[in-house]
Amino acid sequence: MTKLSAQDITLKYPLFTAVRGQPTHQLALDGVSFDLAEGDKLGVVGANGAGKTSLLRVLSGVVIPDAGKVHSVGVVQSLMETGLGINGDATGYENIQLRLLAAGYNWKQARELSEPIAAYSELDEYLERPVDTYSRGMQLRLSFSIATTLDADILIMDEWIGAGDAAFREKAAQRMEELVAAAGIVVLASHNNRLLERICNKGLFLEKGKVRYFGDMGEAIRRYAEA
Amino acid sequence: MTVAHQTQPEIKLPAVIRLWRFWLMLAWHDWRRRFHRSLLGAAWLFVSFAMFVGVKIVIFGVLSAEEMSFFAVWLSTGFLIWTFIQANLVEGCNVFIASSRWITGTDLPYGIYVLQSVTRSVIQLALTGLVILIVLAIFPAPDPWIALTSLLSIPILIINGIWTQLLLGVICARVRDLVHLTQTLVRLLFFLTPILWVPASFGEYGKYADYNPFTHVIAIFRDPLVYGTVPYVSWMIVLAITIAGCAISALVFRLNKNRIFYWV
Repeated sequence: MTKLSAQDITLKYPLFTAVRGQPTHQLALDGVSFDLAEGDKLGVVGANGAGKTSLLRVLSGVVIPDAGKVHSVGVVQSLMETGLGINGDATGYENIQLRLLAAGYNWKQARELSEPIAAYSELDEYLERPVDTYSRGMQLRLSFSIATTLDADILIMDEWIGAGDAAFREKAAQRMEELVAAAGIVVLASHNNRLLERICNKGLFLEKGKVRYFGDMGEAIRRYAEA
Repeated sequence: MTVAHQTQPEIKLPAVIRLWRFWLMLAWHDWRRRFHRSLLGAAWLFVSFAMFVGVKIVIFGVLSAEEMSFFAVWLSTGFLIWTFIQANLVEGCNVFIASSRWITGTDLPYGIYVLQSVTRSVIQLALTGLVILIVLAIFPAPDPWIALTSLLSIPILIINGIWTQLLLGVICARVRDLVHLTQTLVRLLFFLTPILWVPASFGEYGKYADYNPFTHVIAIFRDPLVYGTVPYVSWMIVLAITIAGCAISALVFRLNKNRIFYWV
């Protein structure tokens, strides 16, 4: 039974440039709570700096909140900014293997499992080149292929799903459907309202780190547009 | 499969050890990048160490009052261990900073990056250690059985490398000046540690070398090879440092682990 819930999450970023007398912390998330059950696809909307990326980082365990708790049941895979969680000097193929080893597979399993991931990414001969030479869209393809092929129950994705070309976006949407059909949970932050409305059933509207609305996706987008 | 999991990037030693293939692969990639497109590749480490030791033995051996057979082993073994210590001090400062792409993008336990870095220094130790085998073939140790106790110091050195890198990694990520301070101190410490010089030849002042912890760290490897004796006092000191270091390092890490994300 896959589950993902946030309870009163508060996150403060330290400000290293703080001048004396000025605040030393930036409140990124302020008491964020919500519950997601299996099959839920959450779209997170809000202006730049509203706390979308911070929330996704907390949900995926990359950063520990100052207060509050994340409770997740299921294996979490996250897709953050492009260029993170990869070794830029290594080739695409080697990065696939790295991520499989990081997921706890042995050499043989990593070799076998990397084949379908490589095929799904459609990067072909680029897989033999260092990832730092990839375009943003190509990095997206690689990371998405890895994250969704690993045993993922909960998939967390930051804004850049729009970076792929139309054909890949189509494939990606289909993959997310499959994941959700298999009782998974998807959390997506994006500025692409059409994409969110198509994929998500639940919406979360963040403003200055606070939840302004949690419920229907269409309603969340409407309230965000009005704000 | 459903696994209840509350992700929390911390030391999580069992998880770190379980992912040994991952950090071994990362270390291998670092290694490959370092010698990318060079003809000799990793053999450069062997060559540069051999050249350095060779020249030093000739120059300082002539200046030194010691026998050449003694001085050659003294210098090469001391420098071998120093090279390992130096790698751990210098690279420890950057262990988390250099892994920021993994730290800010995944929830993998941070201990991975420490072991990745220590692995690199162990490979270097193994390669440069080949030079020592050649030196020892020319100037054999007084007692081969006692010489074997030198090998016991290697795991202790590695454990010290791990806590040093963990500790320096945390504090240098927060206070960047310490990266530069450490590099400066490492250069000074090389001359303050009996590697190029022998304390006995300094008479009265030689005893001050005993206050330098690195003297003892080197002694547990070097003394059996040059004197044919086991330095019990040095062993005690090094074991005490190891235990205290592990405790302090673990504590500092535990207190700061949730902040490392912001510091790298």
